[in-house]
Amino acid sequence: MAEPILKVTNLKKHYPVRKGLLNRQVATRYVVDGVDIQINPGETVALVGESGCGKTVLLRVLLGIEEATEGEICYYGKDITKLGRQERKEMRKKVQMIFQDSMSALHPRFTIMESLAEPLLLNGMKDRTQIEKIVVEMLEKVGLDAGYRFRNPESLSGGQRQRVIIARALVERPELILADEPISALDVSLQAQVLNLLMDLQEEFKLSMLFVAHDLAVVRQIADYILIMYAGHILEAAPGREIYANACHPYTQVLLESAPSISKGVRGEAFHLNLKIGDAPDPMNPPSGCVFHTRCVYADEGCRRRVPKERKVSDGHYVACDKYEEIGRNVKAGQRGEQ
Amino acid sequence: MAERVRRFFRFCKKNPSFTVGLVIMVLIFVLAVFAEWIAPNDPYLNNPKIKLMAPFTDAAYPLGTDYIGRCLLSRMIYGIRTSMVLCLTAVAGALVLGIGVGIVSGMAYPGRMDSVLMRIVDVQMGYPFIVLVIILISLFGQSIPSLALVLALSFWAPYARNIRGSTMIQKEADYISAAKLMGAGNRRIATKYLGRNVLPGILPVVPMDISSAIVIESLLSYMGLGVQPPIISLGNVMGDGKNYISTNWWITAMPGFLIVIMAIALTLIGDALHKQFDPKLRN
Amino acid sequence: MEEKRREERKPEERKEDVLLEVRDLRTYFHMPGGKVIKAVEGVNFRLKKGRVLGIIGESGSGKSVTSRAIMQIVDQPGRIEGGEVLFRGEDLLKKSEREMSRLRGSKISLIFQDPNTSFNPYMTIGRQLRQAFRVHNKKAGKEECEAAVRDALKLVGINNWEEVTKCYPCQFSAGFRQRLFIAMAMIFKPDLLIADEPTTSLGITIQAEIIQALNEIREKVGNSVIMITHDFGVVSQFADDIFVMYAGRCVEYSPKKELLVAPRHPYTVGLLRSVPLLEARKTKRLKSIPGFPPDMANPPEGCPFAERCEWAKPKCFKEPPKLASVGEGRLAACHYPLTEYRTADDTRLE
Repeated sequence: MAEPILKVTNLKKHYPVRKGLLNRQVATRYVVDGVDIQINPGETVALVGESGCGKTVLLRVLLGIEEATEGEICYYGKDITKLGRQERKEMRKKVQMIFQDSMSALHPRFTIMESLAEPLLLNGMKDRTQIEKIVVEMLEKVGLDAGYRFRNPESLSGGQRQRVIIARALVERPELILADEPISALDVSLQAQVLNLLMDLQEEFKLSMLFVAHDLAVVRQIADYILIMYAGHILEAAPGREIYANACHPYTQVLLESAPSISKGVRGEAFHLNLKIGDAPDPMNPPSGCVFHTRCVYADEGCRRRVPKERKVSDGHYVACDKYEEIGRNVKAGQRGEQ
Repeated sequence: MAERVRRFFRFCKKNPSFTVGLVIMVLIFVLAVFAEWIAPNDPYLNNPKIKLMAPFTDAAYPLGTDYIGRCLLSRMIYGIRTSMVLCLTAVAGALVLGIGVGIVSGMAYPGRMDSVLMRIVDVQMGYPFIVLVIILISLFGQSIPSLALVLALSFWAPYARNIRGSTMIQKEADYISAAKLMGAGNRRIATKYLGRNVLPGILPVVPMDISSAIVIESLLSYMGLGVQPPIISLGNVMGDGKNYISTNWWITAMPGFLIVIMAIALTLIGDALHKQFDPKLRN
Repeated sequence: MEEKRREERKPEERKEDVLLEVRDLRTYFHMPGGKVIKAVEGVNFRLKKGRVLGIIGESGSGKSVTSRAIMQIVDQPGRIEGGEVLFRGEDLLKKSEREMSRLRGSKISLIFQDPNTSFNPYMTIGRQLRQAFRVHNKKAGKEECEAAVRDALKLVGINNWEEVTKCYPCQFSAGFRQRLFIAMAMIFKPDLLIADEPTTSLGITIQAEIIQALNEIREKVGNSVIMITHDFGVVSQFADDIFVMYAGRCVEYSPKKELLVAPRHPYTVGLLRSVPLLEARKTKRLKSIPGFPPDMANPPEGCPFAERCEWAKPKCFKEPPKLASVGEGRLAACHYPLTEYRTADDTRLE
């Protein structure tokens, strides 16, 4: 197998909480706490988690906007924390980001042309006509008329702005795209358009992608491999089909249960969540043992005390739950009982 | 370019109060620039024979004369020139200083640099203005540059505060992250990204500050702390009438009236800009 | 099978069972400068007692304005231009502001999208709930208030109500605040609860919890619900009937199951095959709806969806279609309603 384009090992990002006159550290926010990710060339990995689970911070660390507290981030086998300035710059060209909030991601006073020309200018390209040519070409690639380059972000719709952001990410011909919920701020009928566009461009530019989403429905079409994140930890990691067919972690099962589905509506099933009422844990005060035990209906004393080990279910399918086999048996037994 | 001019005229049409203010200011500006040609008499020429002449009595001295018979109108026209030069440099200096400190401080937040700069701003804002004037003038002497410095120092701190605030908010926007990802350095982010965005926030305040600078200048000159004779400023002209205020009111009142008109005109301009740049007030 | 279903539905059609009927409701926004935005342009639907109606539409489709028009709290410069809103047979649009405010909260309640701004941050939860109770019960004594607050909180599954009432809104998470807000809206056990995107700003499991809570409330109280959302997932899990809005109009109205299995309006088809779903699609690319929704200040002459419709024929561009029956209990506003299409053609249903 080819060398992974991105390999993240035991990545942690902790923020000190300081207080008082002397700025003493009084607590720590464990936002990302030991995450492993591997993205192979041409692959789309989806990172699924609810808001507050640390996925945005994780992206910022991967992009080098923030420093990691611990762990390794390797692009093509090179740890970026150890790269020199020039190498970092080269690497940066190969990794680009697509943002969720298209309004905030474009400078409100730049024309589309200025926004798209910026990466080229920063790369030392000076020829105005050539820059314009590339910008027009990119706009057409994302399905926008060349005339849009004179407009301001304000005069564009959300879907159009998102296309501009995709175009900006692709201007430098990157190899890896980190997409932070790129369609969740869009209207329903536009979500599919942008998702299709991303899939087409991925094929055309031979892109790898890390696609962050907050539910499992969004990534159904696009993900080759799925990571389930909760409170700074990866709870389950499996190839796309595996997750939908054979979810092992109770949290993944809850996510599946709560994701939009027509079949469930057609069957008219009573809606029932296997989840204790409550909120995601406070990152300043993470639960002992398994991070999910405060809301898990299967949790027992052991889950409260032990940090669960990563267990292999099948090839490429890992789950961080000590009781997954037992739970699986119970669920099957329950289904049989119902029938 | 033509599009911009057209937009400007459309804006004028929509805001009649802005147009009125602008026309007044342009007229006053023309007076200041072409003082040599417009002023009816030599502003320095004294003529004790016609001293303390009331306004509107002699066509050669439309606004009357002061206590040594100098033409009041001519003196006012020359006075505008000094006051304008002084106040415009002062506000420009305050803007440069305020924007610079504001952006640097906002970008450095949270950090030592920011703390230091903000403490300076606090001191500046908390220090009694008149004490500052006395200290600086005793240090640098009563010249126009030192007055400009005094005025600039008294206006820059609120700008710095304001811009630091908006910089701190914008620093969090995704487009700044995007710029960093493209490899933009701090200097580029400060000038190209933040710089473009902070001006609309403070532009509306600028005309208002020019008008208060004019008022403060005349106040200082009136008290004798400002521009020294023989240089003519609006405040000086006013100050000349200090001892005659109960009997020959016009020496003080005429320049005072002009200052009020300028202040109103500038306020009208500022109001319109405020409405234009604050989306909440636009509709 | 078809026979049996018809029999089942017949008793429901009786007139006294209808709680709310909206006929040809229109609401326009008169913008400064003479522009008129036709946000709601002829909406018709019927809501039976104890049922859940899901109104689904994209932003700008007029779904929120519809709910506000029913409550008569349309913001300036919006104006209700015509139509009827029959609540238990009485036209709400003919009622005075005073009569309406007596109905609001007690008979019809509304919950909003953003739970962060719906409470006063400087007052305890208990005090705000008691105040809400006193609005329509001015002479209520302390015990009566306490009892009402306790019942309302228990209704939404909050059992430690004594502690909760002493806290301030900021002490709770967004999801919990939304739960509290539902408790406040249900304090008089209204006949109709209108929920305007109640879960949009919440995380997916919290969203599911809220829907579960609304479901449990409905079982206990027996109220009707109008659920306004852009999310097919929410509607398919919660609603009995679905009402699809596009460009200020009702394009399809149908019982849930039938709509999900065999949509009749091309827009519904477009939505069903393009929204992100848990089910896999039969093609890797999604069949998306091309183009953008029309500008409501300048609505097109014919069918508002014609521009984006793959089945559009010349007539669609000229004449706006009327809402007409397309089957048992089903309405669609289309000149050529689809009869052959099944959701399973594009999506693998389980």
